[in-house]
Amino acid sequence: MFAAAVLGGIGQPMGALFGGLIVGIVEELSTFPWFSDQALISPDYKAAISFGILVLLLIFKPTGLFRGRLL
Amino acid sequence: MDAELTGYILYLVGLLTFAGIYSVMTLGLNVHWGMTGLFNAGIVGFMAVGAYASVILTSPASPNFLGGFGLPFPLGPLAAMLFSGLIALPIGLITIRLKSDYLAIGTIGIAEILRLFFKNEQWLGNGVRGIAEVAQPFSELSNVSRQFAFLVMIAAIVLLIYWLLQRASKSPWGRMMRAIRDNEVTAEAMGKDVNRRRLEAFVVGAMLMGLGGALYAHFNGFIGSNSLEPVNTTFLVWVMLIAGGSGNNKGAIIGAVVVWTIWSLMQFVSNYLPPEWQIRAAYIRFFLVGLLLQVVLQRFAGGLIPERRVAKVKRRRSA
Repeated sequence: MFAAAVLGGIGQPMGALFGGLIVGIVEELSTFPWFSDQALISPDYKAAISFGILVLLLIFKPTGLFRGRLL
Repeated sequence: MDAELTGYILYLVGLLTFAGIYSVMTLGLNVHWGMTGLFNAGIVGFMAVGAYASVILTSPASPNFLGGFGLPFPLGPLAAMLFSGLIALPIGLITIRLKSDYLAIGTIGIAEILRLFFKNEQWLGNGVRGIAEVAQPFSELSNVSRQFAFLVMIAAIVLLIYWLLQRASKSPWGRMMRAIRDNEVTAEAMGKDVNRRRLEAFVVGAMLMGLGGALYAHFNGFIGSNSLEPVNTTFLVWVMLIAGGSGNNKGAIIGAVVVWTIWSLMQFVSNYLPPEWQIRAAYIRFFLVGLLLQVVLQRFAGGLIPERRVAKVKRRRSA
């Protein structure tokens, strides 16, 4: 949830909307068997993916995608 | 000495040993939060790294997990410190620039990733089933004297760390850290390399948390993903530090002992409750520890032993 809010940009309703959408979709797609029969990333790591997005985001784009409040 | 008395004494020894282990982690958090003002909410991650590093390096070979290095016991905790320091370095390099609350979010995220890693990697730590073949120090002694020997060892470690940290916080380095904590901009204007100093503190604190994790695993004789619940470590260690007095090493130790005693005595009390209440009592623990935190924050904002100011500035009453 945190990840979604930060991704969209804190204090931006549109940000929250799209942030949530993106985090959800990335989480699901990362476990899809893209290249072989095996899942790309084990579903056990689903939670780790959203936290990973969060950490990367805090480092590279702290204002979020929609120019929210600066952290 | 009859058996009942021995039982009580052993309970007390175990309680003090765990309090000592938590003191090590609380002292580590004190380096982060009390001295430098780093809001680290990912204690469990560093603890896990330390615990697994030490257990894997000292355990005999086993088909269920990575092992068979069979190092002697004292090297395990030292390696734990090394590994958690090495993990903390890159984490610190990328997250240390974040402002306090966001550092907390970032460290929670990293700790969760580390926890999931230890939970899911079967080859490394036997996944959810955990490692039960933990090397026990002093195993040549009888059960009772082994417990005492462990307590003495933990006490010696806590005293050593306390002495070192006390020296560090009185040194120019410690003063610089407090300057950074109290006013980052001023410290930078004085020509201090703020991010580098914060990184140093981050690594030192994480090493202590790793040491705490290693001692925890060796005393417990078991390490698995259920012993790495954030509620039992991150949250509890934070309550210990805040209750004891952040910024004060003595306070950190007292806080760990007091909170751990309350935490374990509650289990004692819940044994006398009717069975249908016992399950609820486990959750009442969290509630009561939270309540303790509230009372401490309301009544003694600085903790049981507040930080002592080095030089007191006379306060003038303003109109």
